[in-house]
Amino acid sequence: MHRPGATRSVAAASAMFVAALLAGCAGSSKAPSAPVQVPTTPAAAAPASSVTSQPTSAAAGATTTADLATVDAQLNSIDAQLSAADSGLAQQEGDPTK
Amino acid sequence: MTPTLTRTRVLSGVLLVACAVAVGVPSAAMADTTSTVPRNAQAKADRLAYCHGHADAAIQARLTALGNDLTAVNSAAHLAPADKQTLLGLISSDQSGLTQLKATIDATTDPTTCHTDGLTIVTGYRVYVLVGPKVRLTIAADQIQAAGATLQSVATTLQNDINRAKGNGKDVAKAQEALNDLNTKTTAALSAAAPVPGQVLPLDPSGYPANATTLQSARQSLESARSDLHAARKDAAQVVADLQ
Repeated sequence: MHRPGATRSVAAASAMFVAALLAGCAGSSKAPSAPVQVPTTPAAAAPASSVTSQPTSAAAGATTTADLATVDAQLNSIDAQLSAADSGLAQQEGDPTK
Repeated sequence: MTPTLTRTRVLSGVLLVACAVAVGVPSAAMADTTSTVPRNAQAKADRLAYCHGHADAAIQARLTALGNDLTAVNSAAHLAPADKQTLLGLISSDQSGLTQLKATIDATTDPTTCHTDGLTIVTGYRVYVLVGPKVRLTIAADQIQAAGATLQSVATTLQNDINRAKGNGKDVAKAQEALNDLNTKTTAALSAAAPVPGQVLPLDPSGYPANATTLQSARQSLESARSDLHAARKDAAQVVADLQ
């Protein structure tokens, strides 16, 4: 045997559950109250720019270092060739049979 | 005869004898030291052997020098193809000519002919004073072109670096000044070296020593170019330092 008070409590709880269910269904069909924000501000673009420029600068620096090493080797070779030329220019060729 | 006339005659006689002695003794001495005509067959054979020995050594030394020149040409990384072809042809021709000359001299039985042929070891080739400098100056001139091109590439990179640094608010005045000097010096070096191969490659042994002035002038041009390239290299280092 159910008591009348208990019956009311169950009925009230069921009503609240259904109400909550309906409210949930109604809420799910609504459009979002605010759109998702995509970061497109300049503040977001600045780091991207610095990320791309730093490797480029580093690569250029490495290229410059390699090129200057090449120039150093070329300058050494030029010096050696000119020194050899000087040796010839300073010579006096006499009579080879004496 | 008067006493005065007698003294005069005696004095003249003394002077005549003195002159004869003064002139005659040195003449005899010179005849002994400058005579190159062998007095017998042995002397001629000795003289021929002496000539052969010296001529062969002189030719071998020049063939060695030409071998070194050949190595230099083949080792030169930046020698222009046309210049390389010209130098290889010159070296090969001289090697063949000297080898043939050695055979000719070795076959000679007359010392005077040996000596005459031997002189062409020098006059016909000028291996030391003309071929060697031609090879080295041409290689150096073409290397200067290559080094200048490398520096111009570096200058482009450094200008981009300067522009980037300037965009970031850095004071790049000194770096730009050094880079401008780098460009000026490199251009001057390239201009000074460019005509050198065309100036020295046509020089011929028959034109020596008159054409030695062309060699000297070319050498001075390359010295100027060399100095400019070294200065440009320092400028590049200065730009890099200024941007750090």
